[in-house]
Amino acid sequence: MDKSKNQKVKFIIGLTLVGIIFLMMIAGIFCTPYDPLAMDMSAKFAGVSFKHIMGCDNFGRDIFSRVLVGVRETMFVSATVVFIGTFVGIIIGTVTGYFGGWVDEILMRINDAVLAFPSVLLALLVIGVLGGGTHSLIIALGIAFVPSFARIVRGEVLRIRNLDYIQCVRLYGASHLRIIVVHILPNLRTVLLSSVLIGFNNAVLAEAGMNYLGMGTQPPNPSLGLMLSEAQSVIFTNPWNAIFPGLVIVMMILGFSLLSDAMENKS
Amino acid sequence: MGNILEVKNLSVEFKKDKKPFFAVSDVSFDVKEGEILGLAGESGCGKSSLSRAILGIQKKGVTGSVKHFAKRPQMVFQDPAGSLNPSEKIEFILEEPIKVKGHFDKGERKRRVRDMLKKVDLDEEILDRYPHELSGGQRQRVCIAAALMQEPRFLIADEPVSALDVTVQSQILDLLRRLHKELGIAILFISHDLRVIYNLCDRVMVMKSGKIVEMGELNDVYFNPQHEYTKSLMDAAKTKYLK
Amino acid sequence: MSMLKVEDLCIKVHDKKTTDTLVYDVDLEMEKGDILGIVGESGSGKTMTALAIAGLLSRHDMEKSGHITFEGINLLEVERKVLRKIQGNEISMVFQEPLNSLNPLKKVGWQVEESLRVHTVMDKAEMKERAIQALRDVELDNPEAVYNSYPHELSGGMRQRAMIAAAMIIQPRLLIADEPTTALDVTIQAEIVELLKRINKERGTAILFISHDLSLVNSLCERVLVMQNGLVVESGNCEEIFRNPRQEYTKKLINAIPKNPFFKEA
Repeated sequence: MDKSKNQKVKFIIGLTLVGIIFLMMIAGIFCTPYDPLAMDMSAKFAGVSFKHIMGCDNFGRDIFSRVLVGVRETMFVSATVVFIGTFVGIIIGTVTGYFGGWVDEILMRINDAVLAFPSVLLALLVIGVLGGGTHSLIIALGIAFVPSFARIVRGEVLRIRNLDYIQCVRLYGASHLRIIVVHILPNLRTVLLSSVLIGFNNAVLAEAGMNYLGMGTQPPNPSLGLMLSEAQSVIFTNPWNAIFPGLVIVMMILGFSLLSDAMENKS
Repeated sequence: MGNILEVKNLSVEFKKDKKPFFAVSDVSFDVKEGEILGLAGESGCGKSSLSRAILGIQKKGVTGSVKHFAKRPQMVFQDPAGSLNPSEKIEFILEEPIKVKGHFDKGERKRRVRDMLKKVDLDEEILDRYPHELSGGQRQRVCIAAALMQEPRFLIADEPVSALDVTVQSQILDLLRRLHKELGIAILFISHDLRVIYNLCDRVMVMKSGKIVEMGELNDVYFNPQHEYTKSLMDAAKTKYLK
Repeated sequence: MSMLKVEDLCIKVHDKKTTDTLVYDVDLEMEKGDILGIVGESGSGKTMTALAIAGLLSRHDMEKSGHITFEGINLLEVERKVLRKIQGNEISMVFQEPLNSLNPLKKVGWQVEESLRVHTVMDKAEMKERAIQALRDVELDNPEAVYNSYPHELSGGMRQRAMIAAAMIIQPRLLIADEPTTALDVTIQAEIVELLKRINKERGTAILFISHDLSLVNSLCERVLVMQNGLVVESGNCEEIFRNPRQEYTKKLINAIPKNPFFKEA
C-alpha cells in the first residue's frame, strides 16, 4: 500500500515538473516576453521584479526569456541525441545480438572501445574535428550515446532470440527480417522506455556540461549551460544569474528521473 | 507405410571446457507416417538436442543426415509460457504461421484460426487475450494449435506436459491422442515419464548419454527389455510408481 | 496440544477495487513426526497455505485471518523477531524450482550454511563440517565436491537434494515441501520422495508435502487435504481417499494420474 502511494507521489511530482518544462519549451518556441538577444544597458544586472521575473544579466538581457529559449535548445539537443543513440543503438544491437558471429565480434569490439572513453572526452574529440556549434554538439553526443544503447539492445535481443517462441516462428518459415521486426523489436519496449528516459537525463546533463565548456551553442545565443558559465564571474554579486538556469536544469533532471522511476516500478 | 522422417548417424557435438562433448552421438531411426514414436530418457540425455537437430534449429556441430518427407515439421515445447510471444494477442499468434506463408486473405485466415480453436477445445474469447492471461493448460493448447496451423504431417512434442498439473496433463494428452486420430499426423513424443509414453505411443526409443540404447514395440521394450539401462528404468517404474 | 494447528485460515488479496479470496477457512492439524499432504491444481490455494504457515506472506495487500498456532504461538500475530527465530530454528521450506531457489553466484556449501550463519554463532570449520554432514545425509555421493560447486554445475535432482540439506541443517521440527519434485524426472521424483520418507523416520521431522500429483502424495503421506479454489473439499487418510474418493474433484485428480503399465488393474 505504502509503496504504490509513494509511486503515485513520485509520478505526480515528476509529471508536474516535466509539464512545467514542456510549457517553458513551448513558450521558448513561440513567444518570449523579451527578445532573448536584445540588450538593454539600462537594465544591466536588474534584480528580480515584475518586469523581469528572473532579473537581467550583464548585458541587460531578460534572463527569463533566455531561460525559455535555453530550455527549448536543451530539449531539442537532448531529444535528438537520445533519438540518434536509440536508433543507431537498436540497429547495431539487433544485428549483433541476432546474427552473432564475426559481425558481432567486430561491432562489439568497436563498441567497447567507444564505451571505454568517457562520453564528454569523446564529444570533445568529435567537436575538435567538426568545430563547435549545435549541430556538431548533437553529432558528438549522439555518437557518445550509441554504445550504451547498443549494449542494452544486444543483451535483450540475445535473450529473446533463444526463447522457444522464436524457434516456433522460425519453424513456420518466417524470414529473419520478419522475426526481428515483428517478434523481437516489440518486446524491447519496456527495457528501452526506461533506458531512453535515463539516457535523456544524461543527455540533458551532457548538453549543459558541453555548453558550459563553450563547446555547443555559440554566444550570444542562449543555452542553460552557457548562461551558467557566463554567470560564474558574477555569482556572488548577482546570484540570480546562475540560480535560475541552474534551477531549471535541476527541475528537468528531477522531473524526468522521477517519471522514469515511477514508470519502471509500474511495469 | 512410408517413412516421414529418416535420421542416419546423427551426432551433435558441443564444446564443453574446450573438450568436445557429444550431446547426441551416432543416432539412427525412422519415424513412420502417422505413428506416435516415444522418446524416453532422463534430463541431460540429449533428447532436446536431438529434436533441435532434427528440425534444424540447432545447426552448429551437427553431423549425419536428416531426411524429412513432409514439409514444415513443427514443434511443441515444454514451457508453454516461453513458447508464446508475450506481447501479442492469441489471435495474432495463431494467425502468424499462415501469415508467413501468405497464401490466404484476411477472412480466410480468421476462419482457419477459428476452426483450429474448435479442434483444440478453446473458446473464441481467448483470441483477444495475451498469453500471460491464460492458464498453463490453455497456453499449451494454443501452442499446439499454432503448431498445427500450417497443417504439418510431422510434429515433435518435447516434454509437452511436464510443466503442467496432472489433471491438465491428462487433458493435453487426450487432446494429442484425439488430434492424432483426426489428422493422422506423425508425432515424435519426448518425455521422461514412462507411464505417459506407454499410454500414448505406438513405439518407443530409450535414450541415454546421447545414444539410443533400445528401440521397439511398446510391450517388447517395457516387458522384455534387453539393455541394462532400460532394465533399470523399468525396475524403477515397477517399484516406485504407484498405480 | 498439537504441534501445528491451523484454524479458519483465510487469505484475501485486495486489488484496487476487487477482493479475491485465495484461501478460505482452511483447518489442519499436525503432530510431531506427521506427514501431511496438500493436493490440488495450481490456483487451489495450496501454496498460499504453505507460505502462510512458513510466515512468508507479509505483503501489505494481503489480508490474513484465522489462527496458525505453532507450539502454542500464533504465527499470524507474533512479533517479527519471534517469527524469525521460529523460521530459523523450527520451520524450513523447500521450493519447486531448485535452480531459482539457489543463488547462482554462491557455492552450494555457502548456501547450505546460510541459516547457521544467521541464527547461530559457530566457527567456520564447524559450520563446514555440519554442512558436509547435511549434504551426506541427503545421500549426495560426494558431499565435499558438492560443497565446493556452483548450483549450475549440479543436476536438477542434486540441486533439490542440496536444497533439502539447506533446509534440514537447522534440524527443524516442520519441513514444508512445496512441489519439491515437480521440475524433476519421474525416477528422480521417486528418489526424493524416498529421501523425505527417510528423513521423517530417522529424525522425526514433520513434513507438509504440497503437490498436484496425488500418486506422489499417496506414496509419502498418511493424511491428505484435497484443495480446490481455496477450499478444502476432502480430507482424511490418504489410502482411503485414494481407494474411495467421495468428491468428483478428487476422482478427477486420481483419474488424471497416468496409468502405470506395470500395475494393471482388474
